[in-house]
Amino acid sequence: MNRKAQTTAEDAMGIVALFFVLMLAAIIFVSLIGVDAGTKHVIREGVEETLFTQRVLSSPSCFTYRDNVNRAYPGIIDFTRFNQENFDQCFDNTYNNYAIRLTLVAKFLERQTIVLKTSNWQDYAIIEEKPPINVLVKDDEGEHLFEGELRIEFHKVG
Amino acid sequence: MLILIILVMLIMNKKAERHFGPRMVLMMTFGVVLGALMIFFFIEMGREYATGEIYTNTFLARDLALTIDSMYAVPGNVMMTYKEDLNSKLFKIGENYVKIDPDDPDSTQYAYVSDREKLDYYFGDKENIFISKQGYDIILSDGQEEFRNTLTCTPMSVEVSRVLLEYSRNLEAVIGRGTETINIREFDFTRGVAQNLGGFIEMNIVNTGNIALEGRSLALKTFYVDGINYRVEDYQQDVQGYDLALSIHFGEEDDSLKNVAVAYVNDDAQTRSIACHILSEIMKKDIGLTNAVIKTVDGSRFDISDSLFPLSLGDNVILLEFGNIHARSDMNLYFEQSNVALGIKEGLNSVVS
Repeated sequence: MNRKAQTTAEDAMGIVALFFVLMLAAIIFVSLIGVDAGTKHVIREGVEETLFTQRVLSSPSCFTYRDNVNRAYPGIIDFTRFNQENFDQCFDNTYNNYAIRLTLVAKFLERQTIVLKTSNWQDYAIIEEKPPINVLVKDDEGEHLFEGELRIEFHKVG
Repeated sequence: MLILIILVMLIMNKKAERHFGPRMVLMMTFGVVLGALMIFFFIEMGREYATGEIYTNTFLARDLALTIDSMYAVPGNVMMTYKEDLNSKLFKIGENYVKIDPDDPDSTQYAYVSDREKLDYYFGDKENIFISKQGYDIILSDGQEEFRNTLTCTPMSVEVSRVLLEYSRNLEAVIGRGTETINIREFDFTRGVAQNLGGFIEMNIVNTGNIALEGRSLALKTFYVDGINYRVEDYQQDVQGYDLALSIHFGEEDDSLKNVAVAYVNDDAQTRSIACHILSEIMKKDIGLTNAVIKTVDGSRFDISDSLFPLSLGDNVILLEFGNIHARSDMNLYFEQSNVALGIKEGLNSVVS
């Protein structure tokens, strides 16, 4: 009787172990399907970088110069708004796997260089070399336009 | 329910407890629950995989996230109807991500880069959703009515006491173009709008044998509504002496204007504000227009030197271009003269001091 009970207990343990193994298999199965689904819809390379570049150059919420009726002028950077605080607010990439660094060289008075980057930017990351974009910079008094160069760099995180 | 029953049975089964001991019964219960969950997972994933739903969900999550990223990159205001098939889909747009079937443990999601105002939307079982960007904010809605009302205008107080309603192009321009094939003329529409505004437009019939010339002559073209003096005139009248000229057209040359109301204005904040208020009021009426856009003349399809277009005459001109009427199926718009008139009247009332 005692031996029979012990055998049954071993069987039960075996069933539980089997369930665990199958559970593990289910998790692997789910992950593989997820990966497979992800590869079926590939976003063309560079699309997101282009959208983010457009946003930096055109969004009235970021650095683009706005007139008195709040109309944005794409390609004209408002120097007074080109700062890290504004960048963090208008470009919240908390869950996005893109890290971005902006380097603005404003060619007025003495050449001023300002570097802004998202919090996930890794200085040691390998990045693709890209030429700077020619922009116009509205000076801090908002009266004059000067030439400037804006370099927008990306790397992926995770 | 089944799991619950098994659980209760095992717990209550004193015999089993006596036989295996309480610890083993607990482990077995745990194993059964895990097994049931696993079977559920297998069935659900198998179904999603077999029906292709998982691919649709992945696509929708990415597409919506990229759409939001695109909207944020637009310098001005923009509206769009998201027409992917969203039937039977639940989706959540959180502050940084789009999640399809958010309550499912295997839901798919994709991140977008949010702006200062965080999004928080939850939709289900909608055929279309409407996405608009007004100023810095992105607004999503599942109802067209709300979408129409999202056009926000800069508040302004202007003095308008004389308004010119300008109609149509020259006759040669009308003949041979889209609306002519179904005998619809911008002239008739404008006259209808004027009559609905409160004017009594008497027609002097000029029978020339050419349908486009019939009834071109007007009498009693001046009338007063809410203290504003309106005058209806042929195209290219001198707008000097008028506070505002409204030129009403159909976009018969441009297929992209279907269901869209566009106001073309010169680069002038005051005219822009008036146009915005008028369009906003017109869009509130249910006349089959889903989008409203305000454009400056530069960059529009109109050349400022175009002799057909009166904007070169002054800053205080608004060209209202409604969706095209190519076929009889588009005719509904033509019969909305009273709503367009009401929109003009209410729009002007909101800005005129």
